[in-house]
Amino acid sequence: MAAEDIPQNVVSFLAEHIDSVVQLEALLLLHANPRQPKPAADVARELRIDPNWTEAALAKLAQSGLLESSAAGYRYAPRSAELDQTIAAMAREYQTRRVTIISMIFSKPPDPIRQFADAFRLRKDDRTERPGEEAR
Amino acid sequence: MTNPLVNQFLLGAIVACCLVAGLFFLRFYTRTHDRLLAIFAIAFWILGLNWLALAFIEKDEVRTWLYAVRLLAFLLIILGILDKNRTPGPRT
Amino acid sequence: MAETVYVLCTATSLLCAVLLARGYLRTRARLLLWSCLCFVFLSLNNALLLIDKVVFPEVDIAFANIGFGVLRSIMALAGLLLLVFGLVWDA
Repeated sequence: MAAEDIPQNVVSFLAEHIDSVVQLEALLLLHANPRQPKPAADVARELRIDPNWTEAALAKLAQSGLLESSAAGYRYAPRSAELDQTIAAMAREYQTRRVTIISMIFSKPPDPIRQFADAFRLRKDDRTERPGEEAR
Repeated sequence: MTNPLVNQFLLGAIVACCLVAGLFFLRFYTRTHDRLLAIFAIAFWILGLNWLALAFIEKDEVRTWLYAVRLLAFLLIILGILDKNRTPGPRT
Repeated sequence: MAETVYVLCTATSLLCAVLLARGYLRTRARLLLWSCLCFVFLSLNNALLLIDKVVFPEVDIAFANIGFGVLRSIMALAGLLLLVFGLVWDA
């Protein structure tokens, strides 16, 4: 599974902005129709993914400066033209190298700063353990 | 060892550490856009200013107020924690 | 009034320490260990402040010949050094 021939800007983009396949799919869905804002519920339905996950993923993408959030929903709005080009490249790569891209997302080492910020979450539903499992 | 010069030295080191810690948190904030990290940056800088003032002000009445400033920094952190748990956050 | 401030400072830093400890036990991320220890030392710093100002207000107390003022500063500095180390090394 050679990841070397994925362009470097795509690799960096994935490392910095994408934490889950939900985020990637949501971003690419909105990228396909850049002018049209879509509410999270619509995105969830089209991707057939749990709406809470989708909402969280979209909020995170908006926070990273990739989407614009408004009353009408989320719209594809990257902060710079460079980001736009990178996302377009990523969309192309994803069509042909889907498994490689997905495995890159999953093999990301945990980010200590995210872990620091996450330590202050009090609710259980933000963790990866299933409901009913006791926190260690 | 109650030499005031020793304490002044320690306070200087403390202020410098607060400054650096705040800088790190600011940098992490620009990377992740997570408000809590910006709050930590500001909180540590407030603590730094607090200790800086304590190094130079000797009047007890003013010092009591300075400790209230310290509380402000910690309350800011509490607000940050509350804010993080209020909004539906992203899973990572 | 002043006592409330000192107590609240201690309680808040302790809360941060607890949350970070919980996070560290869950993820084993070393940055959490260092920042937890930082807040533990800051809590000690605040607790000593409380003791110094409220329990022994008129007396300059010392512990093992180290004045409480200096001791408080040592606690704070120890915590902050651990934090800075963690931020530099493990973040």
